[in-house]
Amino acid sequence: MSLPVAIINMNYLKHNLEYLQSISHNSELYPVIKANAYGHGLKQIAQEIDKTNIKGVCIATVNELQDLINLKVKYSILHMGRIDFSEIALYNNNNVIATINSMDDLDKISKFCSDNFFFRVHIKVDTGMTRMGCSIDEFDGILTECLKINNLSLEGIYSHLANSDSNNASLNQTQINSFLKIIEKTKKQKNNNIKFHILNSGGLFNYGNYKYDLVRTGLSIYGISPLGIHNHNLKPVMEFKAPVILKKNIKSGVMVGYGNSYKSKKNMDLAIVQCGYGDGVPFEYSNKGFVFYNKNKIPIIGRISMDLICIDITNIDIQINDYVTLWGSIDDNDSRLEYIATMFNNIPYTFITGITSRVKKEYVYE
Amino acid sequence: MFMNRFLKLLFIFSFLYSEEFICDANSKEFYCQDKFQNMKLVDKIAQMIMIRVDGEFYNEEHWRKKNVIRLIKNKHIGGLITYTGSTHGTFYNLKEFQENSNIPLFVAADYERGVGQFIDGTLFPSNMALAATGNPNNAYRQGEITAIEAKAIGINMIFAPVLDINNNPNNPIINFRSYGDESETVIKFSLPYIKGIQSQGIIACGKHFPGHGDTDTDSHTSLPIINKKTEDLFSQELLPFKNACLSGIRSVMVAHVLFPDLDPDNPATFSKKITENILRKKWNYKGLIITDALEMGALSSYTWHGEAAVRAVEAGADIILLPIDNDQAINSILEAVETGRISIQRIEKSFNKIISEKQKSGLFDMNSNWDIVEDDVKIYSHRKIAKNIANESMTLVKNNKNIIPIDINKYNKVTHIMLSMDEGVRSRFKSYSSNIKKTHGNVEEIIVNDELSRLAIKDIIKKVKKTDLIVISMLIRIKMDKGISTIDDTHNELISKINKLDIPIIGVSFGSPYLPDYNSIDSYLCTYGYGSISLNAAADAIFGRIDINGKLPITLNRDYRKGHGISISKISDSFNERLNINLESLNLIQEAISDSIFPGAQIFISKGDRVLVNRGIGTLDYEADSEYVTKNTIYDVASLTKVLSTTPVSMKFIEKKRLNINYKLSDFYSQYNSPQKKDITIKNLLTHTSGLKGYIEYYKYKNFNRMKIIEDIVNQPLYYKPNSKTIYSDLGMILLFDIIEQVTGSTLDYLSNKYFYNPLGMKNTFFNPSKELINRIAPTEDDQYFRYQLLRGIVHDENAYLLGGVSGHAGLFSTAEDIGAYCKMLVNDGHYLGSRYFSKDIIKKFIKRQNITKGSDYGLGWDTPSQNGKSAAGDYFSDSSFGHMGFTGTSMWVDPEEEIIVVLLTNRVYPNRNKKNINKRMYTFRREFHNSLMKEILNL
Repeated sequence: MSLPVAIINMNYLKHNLEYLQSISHNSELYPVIKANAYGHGLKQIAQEIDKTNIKGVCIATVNELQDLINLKVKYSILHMGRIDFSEIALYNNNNVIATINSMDDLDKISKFCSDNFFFRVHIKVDTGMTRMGCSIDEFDGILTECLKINNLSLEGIYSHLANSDSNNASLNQTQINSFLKIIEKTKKQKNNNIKFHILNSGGLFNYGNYKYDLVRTGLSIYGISPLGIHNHNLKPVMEFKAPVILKKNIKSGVMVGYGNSYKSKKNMDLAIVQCGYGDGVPFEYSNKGFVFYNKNKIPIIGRISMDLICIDITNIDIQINDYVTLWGSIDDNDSRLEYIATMFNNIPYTFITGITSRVKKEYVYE
Repeated sequence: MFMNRFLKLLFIFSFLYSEEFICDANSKEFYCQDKFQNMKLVDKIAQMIMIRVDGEFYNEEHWRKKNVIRLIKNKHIGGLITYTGSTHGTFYNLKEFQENSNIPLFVAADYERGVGQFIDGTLFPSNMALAATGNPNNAYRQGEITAIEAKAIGINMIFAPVLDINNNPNNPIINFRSYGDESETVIKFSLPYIKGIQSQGIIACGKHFPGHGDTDTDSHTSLPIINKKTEDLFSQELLPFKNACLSGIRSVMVAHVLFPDLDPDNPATFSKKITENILRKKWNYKGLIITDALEMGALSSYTWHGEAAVRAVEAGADIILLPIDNDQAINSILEAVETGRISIQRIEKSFNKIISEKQKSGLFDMNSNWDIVEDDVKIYSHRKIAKNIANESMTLVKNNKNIIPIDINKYNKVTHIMLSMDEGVRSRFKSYSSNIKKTHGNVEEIIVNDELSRLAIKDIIKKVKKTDLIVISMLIRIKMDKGISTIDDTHNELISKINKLDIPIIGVSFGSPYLPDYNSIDSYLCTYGYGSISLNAAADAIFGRIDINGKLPITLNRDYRKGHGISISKISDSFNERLNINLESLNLIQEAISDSIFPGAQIFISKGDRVLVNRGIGTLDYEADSEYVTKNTIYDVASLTKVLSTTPVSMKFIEKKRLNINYKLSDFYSQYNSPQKKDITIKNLLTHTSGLKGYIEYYKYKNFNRMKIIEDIVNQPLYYKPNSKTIYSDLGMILLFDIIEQVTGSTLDYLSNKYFYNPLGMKNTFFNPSKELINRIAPTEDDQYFRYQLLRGIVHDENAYLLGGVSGHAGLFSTAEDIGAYCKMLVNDGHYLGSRYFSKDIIKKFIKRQNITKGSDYGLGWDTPSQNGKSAAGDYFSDSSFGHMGFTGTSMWVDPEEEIIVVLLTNRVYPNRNKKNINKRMYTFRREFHNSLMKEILNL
């Protein structure tokens, strides 16, 4: 079958997890597997993680939570999003940790608490990113109330850095300082069994001193560094490939693709590749992107279509049914998303989560 | 056990597919689903049918029983639902039905309020009451207990909880069966309840999907239509069901209600759009889907019963509950499969689910045992939890002028109006209304159980005009077919007219909490039910015997919203103030101590609602390191026993009509048949006029025990002619003690504890005190002629000692404070902390001087201050005063007119009774002390 494919290499996932755990020292690694495990397939990634000794994962939506519960994974699931009170029963589960983002959340959840309706929670504090989490002012009240409620087990307090991929943004230090104050305040009231966490992948690399009890690693477990430059200890888990399905030779002056955006200036060999924005190839690739084949960086010409792209294979030995890589080849650092994303003034996340459901995923195990 | 199971399974499989029996009977997960595939289609359909049985005990030939057994044996129906009857009948019927069934039967019951709702198990209050407690742990406990009891009896499926939201106050059938009027409330309480039920392996059933709350029509009579938008249903009605499904509820019951926005053509029972699409597809629900009873009016008037069963199956139901005609239902479904209207897969799916749920419930390993019923059903610990829940649910919505708890002394006359449209109101309210009557003592009752005419209203108004307090108890039942959701209009009119009389009104609702008007009553108590458990709690609440803490789980109106409820503590002290005034008269006690009349004393003095003194003075003995007497020191009260135990127990049983003061002693002892003795009565014993001697020193005889002592007393020749003299006699009180024990079959100490010391909170009052208390007990005599030891914690009186420490004349140990509480109850005309101990009349009768012989001071059992000017109680107690003295140096005197109580406990016999002039010195002290004290406190 000549269709695009995302090859998901579980060996690399395991390798990355081991590496990240090694640099996290005594802090627990909580892989982030929201958004269909960053496009890698929630079920498969969740089950693969279940084979390791990882103690917990992070997800964003209530549907992801439900999916993980249905998979009966044995680790904790930190739901970082807003609690869905219409499905409150989901949180009454030994493995599920809800996030308290406001006093209102706490009020609402506390009403349900009883010996047989208990909740594990972390409090999220907004230390400066201005997104989810309670304000620093609101935190004291939430903490005090939280510790009073029976059958509500406060197990963690966390925050999120807005510029973790940069090691000299001043806001990072401001955020960390605020979080330090939160930790101090908390320890005055309850010293045990609270996990503090503020670092994501970028934070782990740039602010390793602030690992505390737990590190929420997202992008890096998939083998991609958030720092814009590849980390040779990480192996890209996803390789997005597509087959050549037609070859053509055109003369100079021929228009290629929709909108006549490309006009050949010479005699060229072209290949039509079976993939397009309908599969998750960014439209921005039009006339700017590349595919990779045997260490060749092959330019894309013309506009990206829904199902097809056109590449310039002049002087390259490539046959029909040969697969070119759109990103993520282990053998070609140029194909790594750290560089591709930068080139398009974008971030790697949008590429991997943008893979559409019609792309088949092939999982490689040992 | 294993063999049993094996044989039963062998039986099942040989019946179904003998040639293919290859299953591993050792495996716990034993049964091979595919093996059932060879069963006949019609038998698989029959597994989907659930029929009605009850718990009456039938003999073998009864047609009802025969019909059930026929359906089980010949038709192989899959389930039963059991209703009323006896626990015993239910248990044995179910056992027999199971024994007749090849595949174990589902047995369901509607135990929404516990097993006690239908048979003799633990009864709980309604869901709304439970929510009023605010404590979801109560829901779990209710579920757990209900499941434990149901399981013991043979029920494996409970059609509860009601997950409907009662968001229409006019709902005539859900009402207080619902936890509340918001989805959040329902979720909060239902999920723990489901967990509690299912923790015992019993299947819970959420009902009535997708929500029967927002309607004023009862689906038992006709088809309710709920015109709500789909999005509103999903954001309210459906949430409790969705969360129950997420929590793993094992069955859901579908309502006969039409939701036009979800499916304009079919009520939920027949709607694939509702059951299949929402439950199965949208929520991925894997449990059983059960129809509500097909026999109900909503459906029976909608389509004929054969078609109803087919449509329910088409819509996705796994279990068809109560078809009007079971055989017809099976045949109709079979025909629908044969004609291709229903697929075989559809039947297979339900059948497999039924078998696997039966497997999951362990029904294939079932074994029943009556002993388990005795161990598990309606046991004390279960009843206690249910009672606490009922108590915690009492919700005081308003309480103008703090009428609740009722101050019994404040209202001379009470009128209790019972309002209902129900003929059974009298019997349903019987124990509740008599509780009110008895507790207050002067209550007139008016029962209304129909609409009121103008004339009738006028008549009632006339009757209540001269009353001081009106209690209106409203029985607002929800009942199949004729549910109402509030009180009748004419009853409401009556209340508003009564309101104009300016007499305080307490309203108590039993059942629906919604009233048309909350302004016409001063206090309003909601109980959300009319089970005995709620009725008892209500009586306790209005008299302040329990704390009131319930909060409305629903909104009544703008003023009384969800969460509202006035908290009131139970009456915990019968005195308003507890002082310790340094009265000058107490110096006399100090002087008596200096004079070595006694080493120390304990005093309790009260006037009205104020305790003036409650303390100890002096020490326990004369040793150098002796401890000080405190208010917790315990004294041997000697003859106070006569009025703290023998007399009140006699009064109690006289009130209960099990004893009469005119009973002759000859009824109990043949020795009293002689002409001289034959007219002697219990009254003679109580007034010390029986002809018996005062005392005999039985300890000087060898081996005298109770039997010998009683025998000797009854054989005593008369010391004087009965009624001719008054001679204070221990022997008479010993006989009375023996008679009480004969009549009641209980011991005097048990009865005293049960009726008085425990309920009155007299924690330091007992016969034969336990050894651990020895350090708190004041020693009495250093006994040098009988027991040869210092008596401490051992009764001083020798005869009481020979009688085992418990006797009618002596034996009791107590404190002045305990005795003070007991006296306060008597001063209160028999009530204490909202509970009634005696009627006013019996107290009056017993404390009154009997004047059998001239100059005698005795009432019945009670003594009164001598009128000869020489009373040890002094000269200032009023004429109606009463009390008693004890040899060890104790006394209690009560003046009911001035409401004065004086209790003085000493151990003046320490270290021996023969101290120089002790009797005279003690008498003089007593008289002077009481005189000085009374002068002092009467002037306070």
